[in-house]
Amino acid sequence: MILMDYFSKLSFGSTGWGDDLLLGAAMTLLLALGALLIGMLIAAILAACKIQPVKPLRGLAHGITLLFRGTPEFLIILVVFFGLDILINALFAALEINLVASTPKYWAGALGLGLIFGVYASEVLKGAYQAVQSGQIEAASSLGLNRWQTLTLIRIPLLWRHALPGLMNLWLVLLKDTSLVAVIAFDELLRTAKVAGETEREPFLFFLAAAGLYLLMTWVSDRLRRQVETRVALVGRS
Amino acid sequence: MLDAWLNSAHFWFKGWHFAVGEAVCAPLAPLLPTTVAPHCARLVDGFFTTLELVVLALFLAFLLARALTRTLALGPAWAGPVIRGYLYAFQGTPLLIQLWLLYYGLGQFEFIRESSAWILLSSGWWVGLITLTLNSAAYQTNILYGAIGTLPGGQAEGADSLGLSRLSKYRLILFPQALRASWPALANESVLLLKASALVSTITVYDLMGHARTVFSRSYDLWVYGSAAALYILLTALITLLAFFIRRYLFAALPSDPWFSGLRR
Repeated sequence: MILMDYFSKLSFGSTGWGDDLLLGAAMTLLLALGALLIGMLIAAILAACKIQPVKPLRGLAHGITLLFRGTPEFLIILVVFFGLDILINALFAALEINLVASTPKYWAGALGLGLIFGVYASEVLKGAYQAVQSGQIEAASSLGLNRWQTLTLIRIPLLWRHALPGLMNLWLVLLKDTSLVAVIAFDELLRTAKVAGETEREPFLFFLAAAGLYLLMTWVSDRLRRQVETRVALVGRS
Repeated sequence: MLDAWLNSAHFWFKGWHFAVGEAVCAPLAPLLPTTVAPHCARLVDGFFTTLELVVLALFLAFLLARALTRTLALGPAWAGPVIRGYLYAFQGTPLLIQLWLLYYGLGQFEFIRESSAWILLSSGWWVGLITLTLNSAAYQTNILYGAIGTLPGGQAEGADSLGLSRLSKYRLILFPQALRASWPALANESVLLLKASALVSTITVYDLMGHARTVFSRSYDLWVYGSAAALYILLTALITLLAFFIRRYLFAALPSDPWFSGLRR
């Protein structure tokens, strides 16, 4: 009977928190996808900086990477959130708009997580770019393809095979890192669980349920990663 | 009795931080941004708290991971699924939820609050240490056990042909080589744990991040986070160097290690 009472708190509808937790999980996924988009953009730019010949630009990209890899993810997210806040309000003050705005938490979180993802992914992309065999590039130039055609038709399609396993790994890390955004009070899965636990005075139950949902998400991602890995390996090593 | 001992241990850990902080900060004060200088001693305290927490957690996690790897490799067979379940649970969920589950979650149970374990579990520092240890041990076990699987098959065959027992084969042949092979991955995991340790600031621990957040919430000045980031990068460098010297000391006698054949020349 007590056990029934316990689990009814996780049920759907107006009395249970089941639907709120699922909504939180959806927000977590949405946040991770937004961060993935921003992160891939940052990664492409950083990787491009790292493989081009201009030295100062390359040094800058490597410096940014070093800086981000030594700083806690939590700190980066807080700096992005409060930094954007200060920036936006300074901008409003400069334009003499009489308005106190707060940063949209979703975008602050997605930008912070995207930065972290992008810095690590740029290393993966750089490695994958260099892993494409030189014979492929020579063959492309012997066919008379120009540099842009070589890049888009040969290099990038071949590059994915090397980059995907690493990127899927980073996706798993990203999925877990979304929980940090709970601290800036964005209502994703962990924050929903915290609020529910405080309201119902059952923090253990709700954190455990949220942990189960995280486990489900990482499990699905992990299965996907393994499938991709075997597929990539089947096509052959090149 | 236990209570008093734990308190004195905690006091020992905390006691000397500020003294060092004041000694370090006095000459630095004119160089620092004016918003950071008054809080410099706090940040140094946080620096040492983070360092202690991470080094202790890494060391304890390594001992645990070593035991778990051995159990996975040598049996008993029933322990395999249990350990794998533990690895899966701790690697598949965020560290933050693990911290909150243990710190905020366990407190809801009457029997835990009344047990003697509550002395530990009511303290953020101890819960932080326990969780970081359990979390890192899961990743380290994964790394070490994975490395055993990738050793060349000839090594085990050679050990068998010498007539070594299962335990000797593991202790003398397989594990040392696995440790050497996985050292870069372990060093990487150490840096990841250092960065993840910033999360203990959400369970009331005044580590580097905890102090930085408190100071920031009063001054709203981003220099504080900048200084904390610089100190974290310093800690990353320290841990990387530590890993480098341990590796050099432990594995210098192994000429097949490409790193060291390069270094000696």
